[in-house]
Order: sequence, then C-alpha cells, then structure tokens
Amino acid sequence: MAGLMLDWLAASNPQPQKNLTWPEDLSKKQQHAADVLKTWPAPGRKLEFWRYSDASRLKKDPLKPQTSPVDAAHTADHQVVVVVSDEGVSVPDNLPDWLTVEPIQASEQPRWSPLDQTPELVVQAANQALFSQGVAIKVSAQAPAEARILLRYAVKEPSRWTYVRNLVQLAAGAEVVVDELLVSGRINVNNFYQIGEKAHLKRHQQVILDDQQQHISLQHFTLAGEARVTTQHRHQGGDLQHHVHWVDFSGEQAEYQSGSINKAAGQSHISDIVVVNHARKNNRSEVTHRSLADDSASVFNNAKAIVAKGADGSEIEQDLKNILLSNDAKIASKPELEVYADEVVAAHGSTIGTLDEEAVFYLQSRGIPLDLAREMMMVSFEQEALVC
Amino acid sequence: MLEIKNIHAKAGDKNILKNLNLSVKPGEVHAIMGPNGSGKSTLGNLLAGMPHVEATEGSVHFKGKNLLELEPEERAGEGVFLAFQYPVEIPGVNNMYFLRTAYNAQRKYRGEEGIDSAGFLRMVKDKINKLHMKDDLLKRPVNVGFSGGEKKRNEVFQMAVLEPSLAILDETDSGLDIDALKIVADGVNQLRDSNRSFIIITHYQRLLDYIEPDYVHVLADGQIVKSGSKKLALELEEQGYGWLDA
Ligand SMILES: Nc1ncnc2c1ncn2[C@@H]1O[C@H](COP(=O)(O)OP(=O)(O)O)[C@@H](O)[C@H]1O
Ligand SMILES: [Mg+2]
Repeated sequence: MAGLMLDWLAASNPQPQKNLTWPEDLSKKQQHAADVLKTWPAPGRKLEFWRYSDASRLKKDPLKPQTSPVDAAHTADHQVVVVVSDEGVSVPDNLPDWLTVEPIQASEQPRWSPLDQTPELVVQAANQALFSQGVAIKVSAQAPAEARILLRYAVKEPSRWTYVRNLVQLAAGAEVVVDELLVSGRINVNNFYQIGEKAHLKRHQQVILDDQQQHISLQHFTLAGEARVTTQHRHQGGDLQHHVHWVDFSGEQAEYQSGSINKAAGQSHISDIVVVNHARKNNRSEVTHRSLADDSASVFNNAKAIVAKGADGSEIEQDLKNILLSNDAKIASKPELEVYADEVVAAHGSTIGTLDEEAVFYLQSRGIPLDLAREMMMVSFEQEALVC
Repeated sequence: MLEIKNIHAKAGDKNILKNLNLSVKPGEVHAIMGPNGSGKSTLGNLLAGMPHVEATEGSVHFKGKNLLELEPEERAGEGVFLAFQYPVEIPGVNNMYFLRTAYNAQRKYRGEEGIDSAGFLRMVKDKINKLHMKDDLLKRPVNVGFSGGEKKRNEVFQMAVLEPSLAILDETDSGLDIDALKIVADGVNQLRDSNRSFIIITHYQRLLDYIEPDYVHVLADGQIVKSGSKKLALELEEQGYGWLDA
C-alpha cells in the first residue's frame, strides 16, 4: 500500500531523507527499507498485534505539545544521561571509561533486524526507514556495580512522530542498569539490546502519558550464553501505547525476566506484547504482566513463547493477571506457547477479575477512605510484577 | 452507645438476622454465643458495613448517629472496630504503613492532626511491647504468610493502636492455644475502660474465663433467644446448644 509510507514519511520529524548530515549509504538503506515497506499492509485489526487496538489513532494530529504527567526517574542516580530531543541526541562530554556513546548514524551497524520480516511489526519496522536519531551505547565489563544510564525522550514537536533507533551492547560480563523514560513527544523507538556472555542488563521502562500522548516501542534483546536480562515496565495512560519486547537467545543458560505493569484509564489503549524465541537449549524466560483498565480503556497483553525443535531444557513461565475497574473497560490477555521441542518446562496462566472487594472493605473498616483503599489494592496487585 | 432495634438483615440474598435487638452502654462487655451459622458474623459485618450485608428492617444507632447510613471508613472514624473472623491478606502492603494510613485517616476524619512516621513508630512499639507481641509483625505485608494465630493477634494489635470506642471481636479466640488466647484477652483487658465497649463473638466459653463479660447473649437463627450474666456461658458450656431445638 503505497499510501502508508507516504503518510508516515510526511508525519515524521524531521524527514530523514532530507537530513544532510546523514551518511549516504545509510540514506540508501533507509530508502530501500521505505521501498520494501510500501508493499506492506497498513496496521489494522487483521494483524494479531493490532487486533485489539485502533491503529487509526496513529494518524491523529494533536495540537498542543504533550508532556508526561510524571517525570520521576531521578537523574541524580545516573552516571550518564542521554537525552533525545527535537535537536537530536545529546550526550554528556565526560563519559566514564567503561562506556562509549556515539550517534547511531556513526555506528558501524545501526542494525537491520530480521524482525522486519513479519508484517505484525509493520509500525516498528517503519522505524528503519524513518529513524533520524539515536545512539549506539557500549558498556564494557569494567562498568562499576552501580553503573546506571538514563535514556530520556523529551521531544517538543507535538504533531509529528519522532523515530529513534538505539543500540545497546553489553560486553561479556558487563552489568548495567538502563532506565528509559518517556517525558514528551510522539516517539517511535526501536532498541536493540545485545547482551554478551554472562552479562546482566537491568532495565526500567517508564511510559506514563497524558491522555493525548502516543508511544510505539520495540525492544529486541539478543542474549548470549549465561546472559541475563531483568526488565521492568511501567506503562500508564496515553491515547495509544504499543510495546513489543522480542527476545532471542544465541547461547544457553541465559535468562530473560520481565515484569509489566499496564494501567489504562479514560480512552487509553495499551498493547504489551512479549515474544520469546527459545531457539536454543536450556534457556529460561519468565514473563509477568499485571494490568488494570478503568473507564472505557483497553489493554492487550500477549506473552508468546516459541520453542524450536531440539531446544530441550527450555523453561517458560507466563503469568498474566488483569483487573477490570469498570464495566466498559476491556482487557484481552493471551499467554501463548508454541512448543516443537520434547523436554520443556512451561507454566502459563491468565486471569481477568475485579479488585478484591473483601480486601478493600478490610482497609475501609480500619478507616481508610474507599478511593485510597482501592489505590492501595492496586499497588498490592502490581507488586508481583516488580522484578527489579 | 449502640442501639440495635428490630434488625432484619440479609447476607447476599439470604435472610439471616431476624428481629434482633441489642443495647450496649459505654464500658460494657457483651458476649455473643451461638451455633455455627446462627448469624453472629453477619451481625458484626452489618455493624462494620460489609458489602452484601444489608439491613432490610430496623435501625442501628451508634453514639446517636444512624450507623447504617455511614460508609465503612466513617464508621471506623466514629470508633467502630471489627476484628475479622477471617482477616484478609494484602500482599505488598506493609503492615506498619497500612496501620499508619488507617490511623491518620481516622484522625483526619475526626479533624485531628496526623502523626509522622517516627512518632507513630514509637507509639506502635510501645503498644506491641505491652501486648507481649513480636515487632517483626510490623515489617511484614498485612497478614501475608501469617499463621492463624498471628492473624488474630494482628487484629488485636490493630485494635490496640486504633483505640476504638466499640470493638467487635469475631471469634478472635478460635484456633488459638492457651498462650495466644491469654494475649488476646490481655489486649482486650488493657483497653477496657468506662468509655469503651466490646462485643465478643465466641464459640467457646473459655475466652470468657479471661475476659469477664457483663452480659452473655445466645444468638440462634438470627435472633437473640436468651440473655443473661456470665453464668449463662457456663451453662451453655455444659449443655451445648441442643436445648435450642427442643
Ligand atoms: N455473603 C453471603 N451470602 C450468602 N449467604 C451468606 C453470606 N454470608 C453468610 N452467609 C450465610 O449466612 C448464615 C450465617 O452466617 P454467619 O453470620 O457467618 O454465621 P456464624 O458467624 O454465626 O457462624 C450462614 O448460613 C452463611 O452460610
Ligand atoms: Mg462466624
């Protein structure tokens, strides 16, 4: 559908092909990606990943700058703060010696991903044709125990999408915390996390939006042998949020653990999709979602694990729990296992219920007002998804 | 203090309380005994304002106010406290934080100043020592992983901190060994004074060896069928509830 690419090009900030500082071979690659994308269908309810969301919202034109109501990550806790803004990416001058950060266009491989083959990821794939900024971060094994990096997205342009592409590489044995915080802007971000052997990434993703804001993200993790990823997601509010976490293992004995808290109210829609490919033996994944939907908001939770033939010793846990706070709210919750191997340990569960009324009454009976009691029970519900 | 008149009440869609009358004056301790399923918990739950327990007839006044019109948290603010027969587990909410939130919410309701966490901690430690309980209770999430006895003690501890003017204890003695029973009784006796009243719901007479009631009532099939002094409890112990069917 030719219109799709033109629509998206026109709606991007800035238009990458007009970016004069862009290396020529990169521009060519992007042009090629755009040509391919023209043949793809637009996102819509025919796609699994978009079945429960209204993709037409992507074209909305908000008039005023939108800013997240919460800007909570304490920048003081971070040794390095990378800011993505209308002016491009800013990186502090004095980087610690365990870290290198360069603009994504200067990096030797602003990663073209095999994911782009599935039309389910059409919105994320558009990123490779349209991205205009981002960083390539390398963390060495010398990173100190408290090493902490903040990626802050603070774009003022309200009506156009800003496409950001980041690459984060952890050397073998490296340990680091990466916090990603969306402050403002309509960001479509693709993050490629490459975790070396025995390295450990802890990550916090905070996307708390006002009722007009939108956000699209793709995280692609590749874990080498004995690597670990522990990733915590807080998605709250917004007009449309669409997150995909995509996990590949390239070795054995690695572990991916994620906890998502999704809170939607008003007209919000949040999609939170985690796909784990157990293509190799003896890896573990544990995916926990706790979601709440109020008013006429909706949430789509999907945890999918694909275990390839021969990937024995894979361990998979999928635990999705959901609470509807109003009659008009909607939650679709889908744990999925596709197992082609023989010896696999897998557990999955999904429930949709309401707030524990008995517990709310217990709190009230001690003098706690109803609203606060409900809030406390929501916090209680969220706890199980706190992984780091 | 508490005037219950001709109360008929439903739990869910089942009629449980049938023309129940009870009057409790300041400083009095009333014991309510009766067979399983007679409506004892329903009475406690009605007073505390539990959802799905609803009066269909009659009235309840507490310190002159129409209690049934108040929200559960307002009743607590007025001084009503229910020690639950089955205390609820609340994962991820620290017991101490929960209690301070409750304490300050009640103070706010009464137009009093809140207390800071340091001051609250001092007060709470003092109470827990007086009750001969362990203070690791404070650090744990509310009732999560507590044994049956710990849950009951936690109810008594909450009562001691919140200092209600009417405390209803719903089978707080059930499942307790004799030492735990003494701790519970001690908690009640320490709070006992001329302005504070208690309704002690119990299945067994033995708690009343430690908490001396002013009145004992027998609840059967949703109404009080017999009232008397402490001696009634002893008689019930000997005779059981078989005579009710006669
Ligand atoms: N929410 C409810 N819905 C329907 N029936 C209930 C409900 N709560 C209690 N009951 C029923 O009411 C009766 C009285 O219960 P309860 O007051 O708990 O008795 P007791 O405490 O004296 O053992 C029982 O038969 C019980 O099954
Ligand atoms: Mg009972």
